[in-house]
Amino acid sequence: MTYIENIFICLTAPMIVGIICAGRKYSRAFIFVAAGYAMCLLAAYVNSFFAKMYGTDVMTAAIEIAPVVEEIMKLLPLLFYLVIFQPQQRDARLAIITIGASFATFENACYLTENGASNIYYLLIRGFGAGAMHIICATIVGYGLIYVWKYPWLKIAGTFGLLCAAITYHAIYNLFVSVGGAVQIFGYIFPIVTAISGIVLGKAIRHFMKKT
Amino acid sequence: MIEIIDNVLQLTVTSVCAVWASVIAITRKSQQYFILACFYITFALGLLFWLLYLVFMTYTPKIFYVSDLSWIASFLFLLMLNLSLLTPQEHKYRPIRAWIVSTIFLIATIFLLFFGDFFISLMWCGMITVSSYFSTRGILYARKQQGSARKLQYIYIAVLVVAVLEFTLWILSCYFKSSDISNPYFWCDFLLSAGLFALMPAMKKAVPK
Repeated sequence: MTYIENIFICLTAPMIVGIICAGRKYSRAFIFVAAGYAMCLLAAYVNSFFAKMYGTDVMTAAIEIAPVVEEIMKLLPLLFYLVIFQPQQRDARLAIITIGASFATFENACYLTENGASNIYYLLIRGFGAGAMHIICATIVGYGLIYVWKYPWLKIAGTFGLLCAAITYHAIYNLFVSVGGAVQIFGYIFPIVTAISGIVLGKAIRHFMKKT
Repeated sequence: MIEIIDNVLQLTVTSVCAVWASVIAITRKSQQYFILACFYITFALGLLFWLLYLVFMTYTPKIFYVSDLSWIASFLFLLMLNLSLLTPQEHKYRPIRAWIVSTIFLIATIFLLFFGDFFISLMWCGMITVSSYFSTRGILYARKQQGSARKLQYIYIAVLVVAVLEFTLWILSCYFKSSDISNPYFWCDFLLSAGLFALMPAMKKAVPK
């Protein structure tokens, strides 16, 4: 049994101290980290609820239920921040990446307490893989929202479409990782390659846009 | 085996079209091509998950259809594409023939509600029914126009063809369950792949540089 509430308290306590000490200007980053942890904790509860309700095994729950629940939970604080505070693009980018990264951190911390931390090579590849995947999914939704919300009539379709794209990407990752063997290793490398290609492609597009 | 070949073919078509539409959307800074690219990307993602699940698990998803979410999103983008092509004059045009076509789609929707997942069928079929209304109206309106406005009929025809093929596919899936080449479901799905590809040339004709 994993006491995820205890892990949550342990990881969030320094963030709360950080929020108090950092001052108004810098406390935002700590809030996003704490929000990412909180959403991961809530997602675990909701996942367990649906898994029990449908009577599924761990693998089916990981592939078919977890991506939907986790992506919706991850979207909530982001949506709240974007709708209520209407931040500038730079601030929104910080929120998107921080929530994604902290969600992955909490997930990794739970994984470590459950499975131990002896295999450094596996943990290294898993750490980068899960981190990249959660950041990519948050980026698909977050950056997409910034672009799509420029057009009021595209808001609903765009938000739903982006969320679905993130869910499917997450589900593909979970599917690879659940299969085991060489496919599992490929699954961990897959988001890292996507992230690198995304950065390169993004830079090339920005360069092209500036030129024209 | 035929199901995997069918899905691989459709995935190839939608992925190629996604790249093609994305390149045009970036180079021309075109909103319509951006929406079409979103349609292809979400459709291809759903298909990729479905195909991988089929390959690794040897059966289709049982509890929650992640792919269906992606496909619903893709048809939502197709509906948005229809809406983005609307002109204010076309908005006021309400031909009876468009209502007749969408009523046929509505009857098919009600029929399909008894087979699949109620909520997903309602969302998916409902969206295509609305798309069919806009497409038929668009065809009828564009055919009355001259010059470039008339060319919009091509994209509307392509969207309507995709909608008809999608509905035919679902109705066939209710009656034909075999997984060999004689199953008309697969032939209809091959046609759907062609229809999905046809959206790109139709769009190029309808929305010139």
